[in-house]
Amino acid sequence: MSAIQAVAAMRTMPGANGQSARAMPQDSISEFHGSMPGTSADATSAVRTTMEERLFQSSANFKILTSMVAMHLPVEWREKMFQQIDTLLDAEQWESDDAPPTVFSARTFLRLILALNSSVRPGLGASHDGNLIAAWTKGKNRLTVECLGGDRLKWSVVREAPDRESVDRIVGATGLGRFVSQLAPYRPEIWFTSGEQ
Amino acid sequence: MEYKRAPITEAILELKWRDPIDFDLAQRAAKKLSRHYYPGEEEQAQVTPNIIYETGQDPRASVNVLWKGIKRSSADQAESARVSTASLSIMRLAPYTGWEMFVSRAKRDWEAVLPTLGRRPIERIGLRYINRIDIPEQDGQVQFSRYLNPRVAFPTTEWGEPGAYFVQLTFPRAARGLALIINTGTVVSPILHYQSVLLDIDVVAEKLDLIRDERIWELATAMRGEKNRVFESCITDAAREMFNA
Amino acid sequence: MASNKIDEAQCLLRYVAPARLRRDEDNNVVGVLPEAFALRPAKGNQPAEKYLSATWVGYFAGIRNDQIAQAVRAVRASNLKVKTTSGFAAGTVKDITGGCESMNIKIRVLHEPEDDNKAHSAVRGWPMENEELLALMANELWSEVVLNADVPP
Repeated sequence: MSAIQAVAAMRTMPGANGQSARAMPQDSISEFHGSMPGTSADATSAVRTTMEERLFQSSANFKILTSMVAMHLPVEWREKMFQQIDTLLDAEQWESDDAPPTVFSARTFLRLILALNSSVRPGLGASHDGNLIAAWTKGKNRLTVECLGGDRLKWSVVREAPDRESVDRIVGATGLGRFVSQLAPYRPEIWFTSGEQ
Repeated sequence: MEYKRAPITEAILELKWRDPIDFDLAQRAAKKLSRHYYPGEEEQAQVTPNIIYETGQDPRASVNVLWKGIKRSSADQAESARVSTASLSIMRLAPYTGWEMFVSRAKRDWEAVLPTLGRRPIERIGLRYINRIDIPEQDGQVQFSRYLNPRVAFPTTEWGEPGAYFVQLTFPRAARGLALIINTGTVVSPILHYQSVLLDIDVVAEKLDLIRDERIWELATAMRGEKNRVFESCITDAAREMFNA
Repeated sequence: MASNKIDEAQCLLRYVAPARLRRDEDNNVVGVLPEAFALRPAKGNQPAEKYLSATWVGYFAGIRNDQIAQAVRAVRASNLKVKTTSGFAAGTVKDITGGCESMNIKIRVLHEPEDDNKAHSAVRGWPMENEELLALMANELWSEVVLNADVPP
């Protein structure tokens, strides 16, 4: 499979050839990487035409972004998450009307994972309009988080009350910065800690 | 020194030909890189938009496309190789798996493309390691100088530590015939309530005329030693503790 | 086309795309995501969906499992391209309607046969955006999952 990647002519790296320095790039992949031009995570705009190519690009973006934070993830997570994303973005199983997950959603997703510091990986799904969905499930207890761009989240919780006689149901839309504290009252350790609760 | 959580986000080794090759040759050479290791393939171009304004006429736009090379990628995107009209580049994203694995892949890919390219002199070798140092905030702030030695000195302290900065340092005759370029500055952190600093170290050997493979790899290994010395001199013990936490 | 209200004791089966199945960390299916019940907004030349589509299980004869299997086959035979790793969410009209009423949403569950699926049902009055409703359906009221791979041809 080949695709055209456009590398902006302005993005030249200062070096011994004396070209002048350029301001730091601001797009999502570069933000994770602090990427300077000339690196493999160049902020290039790829023109992908077929759905299979678009899914490939979505998967590649996810994997590159994950690599950028690999030093903060448990060792086995990277390979397992790649298996999950490969299953999710399998071209044979993808609905043709759906937009592949965007790099902006992938960025929010990874920032969510790092912020939650869970020892349990979420299940992965996707909305029809390009957002990754992270889901944790423990019996009746469910946490579902749709990752939009710009650190925005849409989430829902079903949580058994401590007496197990009833459930609390909550939905919310919030920024990542406030999400962890908003989740705290629902005893999220049930989802984020391995083993039975 | 090896760290449990090394801050390397990318390592790049570039071998630049003395005489540029044409795109067709680069394409043919790139196809010799093993599809087993690099199932992904992308053509890369330099695109320059031009907008021309002439008095009395509507502005006209055109685009110049200059085909540069082919990038081949592993399935997990962590490893890639690029054959361009100017050079062969070998790249590795985090998690970095060590020098021995990196240089043996470079040798393998070099040997794969050589029969197509023919033995051609290398005039420049660049070895670049991009590190991103992620530092937890304390009360919303980070004291960068606690972790990094390249510092921004400002004549007044009444404004506190800078929130963002970017510095490029170029040492044309750093050591042993090598040039050194260091880029360092703040970048958006991937982690909430952290701040991150880039430490991008580029060791360059120029004005070469290398044909023999063993000389290329000897020099690359020496450059790696130099890069390590530079890296260690740029970080503090507080940073080392963080990388081993 | 004729449309008749479907009795509340009846079961509806809704197609769930693979990406909308709820999975655990090892990719095992454990349910349905709320997004599986979202109406599609307008996009380009395509207008917004006006109702939620499902298949009326009771249209088919036999015991429940046989009915569900026939309903799955009817969807496979329809114009919808059923993916091999997809699923179907089963729920009763009573639960679905009751859940909507608890949120002051009035829906009508109608048998609206289509040329490519005679058991087609339309859930009309479904809100375009209501995250709470979608979560309630996915997590509790319309949440029994039948995997496509578990239903033989």
